[in-house]
Amino acid sequence: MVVESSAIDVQDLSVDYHEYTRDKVFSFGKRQTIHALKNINFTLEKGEHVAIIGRNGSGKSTLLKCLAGLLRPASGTVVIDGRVIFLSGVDPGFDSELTGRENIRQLAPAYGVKKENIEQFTESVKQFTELGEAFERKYLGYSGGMKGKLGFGFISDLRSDILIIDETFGAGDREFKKKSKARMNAMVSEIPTLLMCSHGLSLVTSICERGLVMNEGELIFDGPIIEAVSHYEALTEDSIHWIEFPYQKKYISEEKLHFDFGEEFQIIENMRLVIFDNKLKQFILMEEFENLESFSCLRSDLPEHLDCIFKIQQFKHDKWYDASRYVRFTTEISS
Amino acid sequence: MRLEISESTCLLTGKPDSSNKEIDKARISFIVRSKFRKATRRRFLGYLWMVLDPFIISMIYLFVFSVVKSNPNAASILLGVTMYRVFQSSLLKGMGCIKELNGGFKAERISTRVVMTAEVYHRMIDVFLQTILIAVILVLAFGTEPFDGIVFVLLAQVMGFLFFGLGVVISPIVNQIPDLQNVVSYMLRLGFYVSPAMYPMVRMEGIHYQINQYNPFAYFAELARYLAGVDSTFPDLSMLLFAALICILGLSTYIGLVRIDKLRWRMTTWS
Repeated sequence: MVVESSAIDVQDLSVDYHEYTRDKVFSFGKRQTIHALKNINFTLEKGEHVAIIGRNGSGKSTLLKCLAGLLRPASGTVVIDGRVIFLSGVDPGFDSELTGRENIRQLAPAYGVKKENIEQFTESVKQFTELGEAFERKYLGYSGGMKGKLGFGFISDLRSDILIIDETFGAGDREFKKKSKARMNAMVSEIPTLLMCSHGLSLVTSICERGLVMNEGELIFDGPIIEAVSHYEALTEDSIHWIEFPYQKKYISEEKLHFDFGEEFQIIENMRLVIFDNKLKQFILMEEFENLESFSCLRSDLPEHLDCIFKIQQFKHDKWYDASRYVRFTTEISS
Repeated sequence: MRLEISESTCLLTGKPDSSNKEIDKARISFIVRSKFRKATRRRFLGYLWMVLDPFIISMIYLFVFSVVKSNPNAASILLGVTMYRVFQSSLLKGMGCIKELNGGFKAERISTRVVMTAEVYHRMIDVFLQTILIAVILVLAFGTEPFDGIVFVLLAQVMGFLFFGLGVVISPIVNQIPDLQNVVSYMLRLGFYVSPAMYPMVRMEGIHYQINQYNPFAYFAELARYLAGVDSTFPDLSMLLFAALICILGLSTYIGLVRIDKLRWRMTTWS
């Protein structure tokens, strides 16, 4: 039974994959069943922004695909009230033989953009992606980054009742990533109901208020996002080689915050520092290290109360992972 | 609109408004156009190849038959080869359509009705392009009545639709036992020489003729020849058997189209 205000209602959902494997040369093969999801239950109210977090292979993507109507459950039911758009990767179905413009013009009406708005929609995508004359070239010749820009520009301009996102970030250069993040935040603020999965804990914490933690196909936690992240971190503790937050000297003066990492700890290029406002429960800064021995930021970038959490993240396999345990600063000021 | 997902179905409930219908139309159009783009991509003559292809193939067979001095009838070859190409492509498309789970769309589920409507439209346009030039040639060069030329195009449409449906029915079996794809491929190749594609049934004798009395393609090919006024045994064939074969094909098409939603849904977790 669906509650009136429910956007998504999931009851006892299980999903099995069936694989045919052949172990001999002359063999019809045998069917192997993989239990990807086991008895999932939750309800999403209209207007909620919810994150699904869990390790690789925990069943996050399977759950999202099932909710998007792309996978058949083995048992249980899902009822979804409203139109769903599922963002997974950055290719909504582009044709390699068409130009960027032609692709946008042809796909837009199929994704619900009204005829009278297609021109405006196309120009908006062109402007956002900054592809310039490449927008008029065949998609076939695009680089990976350009394809990502076009895809992200297109899908982030679509609107629906429910948005389901499966790790759709990371296209393009650093500047474009910043733009994408801003665009995604704007999109999320306009979308009534959001369900997303990402390994970027900072991202999900800044966007969602509720978190579902999955492990080995089961839903093991459903609650406020901060608690969900803690639950997930506790779950993954064994699999992460944590480093202690590596500063030797630190100070927060009237002008700036400074960490001196010293010689013992080498910050490598794919690491960044994350600062989290512990009172407002939101991320303030995610800065990739430029100077590999120390880090400074302006005091004005930090909140007045100074109750912040600092940690280091590392970029591996296209995702940011927490690499250090966090340290919490309060109102300590030194010079 | 509400999406209800369970083991047995993925059902969109509620009354679609005009904007939903517009979106569905746009999707059908996108899928059909994208299928034709795939078939004609990078070719200078593009769609023209689809029109020229049956004619060129027929001319090749006409040349081969002339060389072996078998006194061929050009109109008969044109009709038989074209009808066989329609039969073959329709059956293969029907068998493959179950793999086209979402019509190429990746960010939203597309209803089976939209995917199948696009398949049927694509088939109709494809068959039209394959037959229209042959119909024009028959009328202009072989004195066939324009009305009979139109009937030939329509006959190819009916045959294409029925064999497409048959392909849909057998698609789950072929997908589960991929070896059958090879068997079907050999059967189609053999069928081209055994069926009245390159020569009419009047040239067949004994068991060869008897086998083709149970071959539904033979009835369509012979009817096309009969309409064009070339050698044909169509009036001598059993109309009762023809009606029975049409009924069986019609029923299998109906079953295939009714079951396709369930098959498509079941396929989503197969690999």
